[in-house]
Amino acid sequence: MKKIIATALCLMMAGSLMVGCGGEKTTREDAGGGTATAAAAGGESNKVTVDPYSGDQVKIAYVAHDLGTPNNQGWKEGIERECASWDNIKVDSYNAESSAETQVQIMSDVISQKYNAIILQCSDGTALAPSVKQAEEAGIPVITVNLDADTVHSALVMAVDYDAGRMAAEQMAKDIGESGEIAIIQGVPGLKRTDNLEKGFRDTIANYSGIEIVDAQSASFEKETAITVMNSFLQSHPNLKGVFAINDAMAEGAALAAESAGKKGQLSIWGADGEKDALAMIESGDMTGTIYTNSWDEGSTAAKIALLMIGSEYSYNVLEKTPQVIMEPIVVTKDNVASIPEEDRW
Amino acid sequence: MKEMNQTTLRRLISVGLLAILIALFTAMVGAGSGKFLNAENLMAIVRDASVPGIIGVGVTYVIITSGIDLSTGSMIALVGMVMANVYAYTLLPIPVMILTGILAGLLCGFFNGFIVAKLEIPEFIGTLATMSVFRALAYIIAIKDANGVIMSQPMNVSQYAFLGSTIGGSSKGIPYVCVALVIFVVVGQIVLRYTRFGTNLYAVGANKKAATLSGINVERIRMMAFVITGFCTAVGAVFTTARLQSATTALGTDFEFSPIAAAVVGGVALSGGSGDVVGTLIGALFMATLENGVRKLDMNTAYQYVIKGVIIICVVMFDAVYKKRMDRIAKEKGAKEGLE
Repeated sequence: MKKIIATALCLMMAGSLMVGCGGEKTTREDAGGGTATAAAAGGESNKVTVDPYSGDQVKIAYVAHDLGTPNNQGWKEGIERECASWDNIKVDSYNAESSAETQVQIMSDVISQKYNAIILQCSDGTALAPSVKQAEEAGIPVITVNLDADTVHSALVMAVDYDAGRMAAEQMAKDIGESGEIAIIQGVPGLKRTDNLEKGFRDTIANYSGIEIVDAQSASFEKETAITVMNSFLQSHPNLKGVFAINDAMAEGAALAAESAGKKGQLSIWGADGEKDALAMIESGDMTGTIYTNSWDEGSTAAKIALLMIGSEYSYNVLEKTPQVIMEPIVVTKDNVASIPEEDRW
Repeated sequence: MKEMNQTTLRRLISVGLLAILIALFTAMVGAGSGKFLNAENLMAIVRDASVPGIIGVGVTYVIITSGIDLSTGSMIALVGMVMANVYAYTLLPIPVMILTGILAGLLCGFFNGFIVAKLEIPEFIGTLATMSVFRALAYIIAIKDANGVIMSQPMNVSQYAFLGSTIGGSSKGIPYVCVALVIFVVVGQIVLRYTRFGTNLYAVGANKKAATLSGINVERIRMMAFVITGFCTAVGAVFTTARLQSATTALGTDFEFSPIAAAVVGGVALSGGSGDVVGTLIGALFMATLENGVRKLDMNTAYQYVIKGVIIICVVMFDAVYKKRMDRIAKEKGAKEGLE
């Protein structure tokens, strides 16, 4: 009897797997309405306006994906600097510890505490969409940073993603003479920004017939893991000429691995973000280049938008899509790294 | 009778610690501000405790048999992904989709039980291995776009998403997941205390050899505990994905220790043979309260972790001291009775 049940379970599982591999994706009809329907456009403004610049008490919540990373610290710093001159503006930071579930819990907490605005880096744009919508409906503007939410909200402040991938690809192609084997070190799959970066890179590389992407592995955005991944790349592809890592931490790891394999400076190693350590490694010749964005500036831009939203009667339900503010990217190589002053390195 | 008194005492202490924690946060966050002690926030705490609590029922069974299950986090991802596949590629009704997810959970639990009880691989290593295997399976069956990049699958039809919200849908209502928590804890406690299976769980945990000699099918009991954990985890995954209205491969990352921590804080001994489901519920509430309260202290994140760590150490240390004392009393009593 037990065996029969077990076999039946196996078949069910196998069945659902096959379904997953083969078929076309279907669209489901929503029967009940309610939770999934968007707010009617042009409705009454639900905003309670206070003026942060004339002394009203204002509190802003910054809900980060993982406060331990330089990027998140950079934004936090930027937001706090922007608000530091006003005694009546308070900023609280929350750490989701890289988990969308935790972030959803924090969001409902922040909404019930009636913050005036939320600056959010979505761990998962789809998973956070209901929370973002709930906040906007409660009259709390949500400004996302880099990682978008799959629902219309007040604003998205982002560093370029697709174009950063494109720029890195163009630069790398130039470096390696438009031919040879290259590899990609991926982040955690399923994040829009990093997926777009990779897509930009792949689409551009496809224009060069001489260049072949021989491998792509995930190192979960982590430096240590990237060292392992890079080592396996170097072993299985001895002719590797270039590596593109989706973020700088992984590019740093790749550079360290290349150095210990005695290949310092022989590979074209590109990252994206432009954090302090990566710029130092470009200066020392370990890394080839990165696409730099000023994270402090990005954080303070998000804070400025938040304060503007708090002070205006403008409400999200007049929007058809999320307004975007895109930060200027700078291609950094050894030649121009010195032009980024110390006070702009985060 | 004496044994009963001891459990009652232990329960009173757990509840007392929870009350102290709540009082502490009320005072620290500011009693006047009403930020911590209000109905909405207390409901949020129960809601956050629900998924670890539901999964904790199964994990409690496993720990009582002196086992451990480290794979629950990855199992959430796999169950979520199985459902996402049914959702994205078929037009099967939502209840069938949920049923498929539950079956996947049962199968995962069965697999855990099989390698641990039949193949006699130590629980810690066995479930550590399945933790990777389940996560990897989730990646393999994940929904991908044309470039092979893994995507997050929305699951936002209201027939499903309502499970993640509250009865009546208003933000002040009772979340469905809390109702499920109550059902799981009540049924879990009754099974544990008043059925032969429950008694057998304790017997296996206290002494496997003795249990075998007294005619208990140890293999089967251990296997059942894992299958039940699989079931509870699948239900937890349903409520998690319904609340997120989506499924990704990252679901449940680092989650596996939440139900274990809830059980241990609630007085379930990792050495097996003691503790119960209500204890785990109190533990889950304790952890959620701690998480929620620390967040409101206006404090640097690093210090928040220190506070969390110190409180957990204090509670578990208190538990250890209490157990030692109880053991000594029992021994002294035994010695006295021996003299008489």
